[in-house]
This record gives sequence, C-alpha cells and structure tokens, in this order.
Amino acid sequence: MTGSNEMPPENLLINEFGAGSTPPDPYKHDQDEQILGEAKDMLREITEGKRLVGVMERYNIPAHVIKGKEITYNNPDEKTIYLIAPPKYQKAIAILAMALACAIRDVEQYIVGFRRPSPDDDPADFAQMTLSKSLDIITTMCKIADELHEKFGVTNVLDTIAELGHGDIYRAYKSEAGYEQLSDLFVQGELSALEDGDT
Amino acid sequence: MDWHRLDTEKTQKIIDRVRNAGDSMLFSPEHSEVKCAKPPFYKDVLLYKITNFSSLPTFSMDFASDGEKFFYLDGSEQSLAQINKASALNLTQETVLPYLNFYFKNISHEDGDIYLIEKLESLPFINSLAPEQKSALERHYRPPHAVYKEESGHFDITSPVFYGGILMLSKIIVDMEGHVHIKEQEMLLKSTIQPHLMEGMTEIE
Repeated sequence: MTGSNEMPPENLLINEFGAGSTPPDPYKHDQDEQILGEAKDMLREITEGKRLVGVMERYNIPAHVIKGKEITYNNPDEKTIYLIAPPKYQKAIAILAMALACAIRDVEQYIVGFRRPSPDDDPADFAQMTLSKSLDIITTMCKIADELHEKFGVTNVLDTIAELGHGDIYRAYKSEAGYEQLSDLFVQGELSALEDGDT
Repeated sequence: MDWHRLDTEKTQKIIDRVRNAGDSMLFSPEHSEVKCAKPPFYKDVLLYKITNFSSLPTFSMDFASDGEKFFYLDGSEQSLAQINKASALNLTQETVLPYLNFYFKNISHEDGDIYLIEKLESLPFINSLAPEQKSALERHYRPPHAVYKEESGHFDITSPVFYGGILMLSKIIVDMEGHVHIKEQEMLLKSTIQPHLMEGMTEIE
C-alpha cells in the first residue's frame, strides 16, 4: 500500500452510483448456527470458556457469523457480536472458539462499564484505555488458547497467537507475569509493529 | 498494487452502497476508511478495502466492483468466480503472478493460508530457521516462474509456496478464466513450520 494521493480512474466509481439496486445479503455465513453451536460447545469444555458462554447466555448477547477469509470478530456497537468465519471452517473451529471468547469478553467489558474510548477523549486517556482494553482481550485469548491446548491438544490456537505477534505476551502469561510486565510487552510489540510498518 | 484512500464523500458513498440493511452497523462512515486499487489483471474492476477503526481489533472487508455491482470477497472460490465472470480478466505473462497472489490472498484454504514466496528474504521466519535449514533453502530457492502453454491455453507456474506450515515447490496451473489448480508439490524443507514452536511458546509433549 502507498500513501499516494493519485486516484484510480474515476469513471468506474461514477458509473457505480445511481444503480439504485439493493445488494443481496452477501455476508451471512450459510452455516452460522452450526459454527456458533460448535464454538460454544468447545468453550463449555474449558473453565474460562464456560464462564464466557455463561455471560453470553445470561445477557442474551446477539451473535452473527459472516463469511470472510480471516478469522476475527467485530463488535461494532459494543453489544452485538459478529464472528468472521471462512467458508470451510471445520479445521479452524478451535480458532473460531477462541475468537468468539474474545468477542464475548469484549461485550463483557461493556457490560461492566468499561466502555471504548471516544476520539474526543484526551489523547493520553484514549491511549491508556485502548491499551487496557486490548491487553485484557489478549490475556483472555492467551487463557482460552492455553485451556484449549490443554483440553484438546490443539496447537493452531497457539500458532494464531504467535502469528498475531502476541507470542511474548503468551509466554509471560504462562509464567504468571503481572499486569505491568504484560503491558510493557504489549507496548513494545505495538511499537515494533509500527516500526516494521514504516520500513 | 497501489492503494489510494478515498475522500470523505466517496467513502460515504461506497459504505452506503455495500452495507446491507440488516447489518448496517458493520461500518460507520465516520470511523471507517475506504481504500481503492486498480489491479493489473482486470480491465474494468477496482478493489476496495473498507476498514472500521472504531472497534478493537480493527475490522476490514474487501470488495471488487465492475462499476455495476459490488462483490464481497468472502474467502470462497465462488466469490472470485463471480468477479472473473463479470469482468474481463486480463492474464498475461506480466499479470499472471499478481493474479495468483491475489487469488491466494483472497481464497481460504482448509489447511491454512498459501503464500507465494516471491523473495526469500520476505519469509517472516527466515532468520528463525536453523542455519542448515536456511542454507538448504537458499540453495534450492528459485523465484516464481510463469510459462504460457499455447497448446492448452493456460499458464504453468513453478513457485515456492508456504502452505499449511510447509515450504513447498509447487507447480500451479492458471487458466484464462482464472481457475487455479495446484498440480504438484514437493517439500523444500523436511519439517513443518509451527509459529508457536519457533517462538518457543510451548513444547508439545
């Protein structure tokens, strides 16, 4: 990607608008209920997963599954979960369970009053809140991955943590590091990612 | 491909165009950005990447548009086939490798992502390999190579790929409709790369 301001041919954009047709729903995963069911069943088998599924059920948190190549989640209004799952999800169900757990934890933050920062907040407050919320989610991810690995012997969840660049945090979590050490590692990781992105 | 950020007005229009009535909350124009690129292998298609920065983690969706319709790249073969059917795919000696990269980047594979290794130094874990693994890889590495076969009307591509944690030398067929078929594979390294083990996160008993 570049930061260039040069635009691609305009006519393709101009021709598009005014078509007036409503696009079909291309997002919903055709196995959405099955995916949510399997992911929840897997989480119910581990301690933290069971607690989080309990939160989901107690607060009746709505969840949708949409198709996408990369497994992730999005909680656009802080209360509704969108889990993104690949078309063929079966071999990745543990990663989907981990993503669902993180999404539930994200909503749980909202439930206990730990809201997302507003762009209008003081920049230092914004950064602090973003760090705290992100680290909390990453710690949840480490906990879930560890429990899934212990229970089912799956390793793809650990690979995912490493690929996301949180391997150091996982190691620190495993060695029972405190919040300060975890947050130092998180900040260090973010700075490294920023430097890598600049090169 | 060069990606260009759209201005506020076009961002709003693109988001209005692609958001589904039932899922309208996925993208908010005020917290999202839209980037656009012109791929060399399509004559009349632009790619759009919409990123919502208001959620943690940030969230992106990719689309292709022929100027009439928007196609969501959902990781399936069908989504790409729709685009290739609707658009004039322009596969040449120069565009077939960028197309193959685009294909692997946007199509989900059950056993994990597939990456073309265009440069050895771009391998994220190259410096984490054992010295003998690294030198074996350097000895055997050849950059991707495409040949057009007149008689069968397709490209034969030989390329190192990273697939399911394994470095392979793959022979791949790309036909003029954009279908991709992996014909043969042989291992370049006689071991599986497991990122969590490379980082020493935990040993599997």
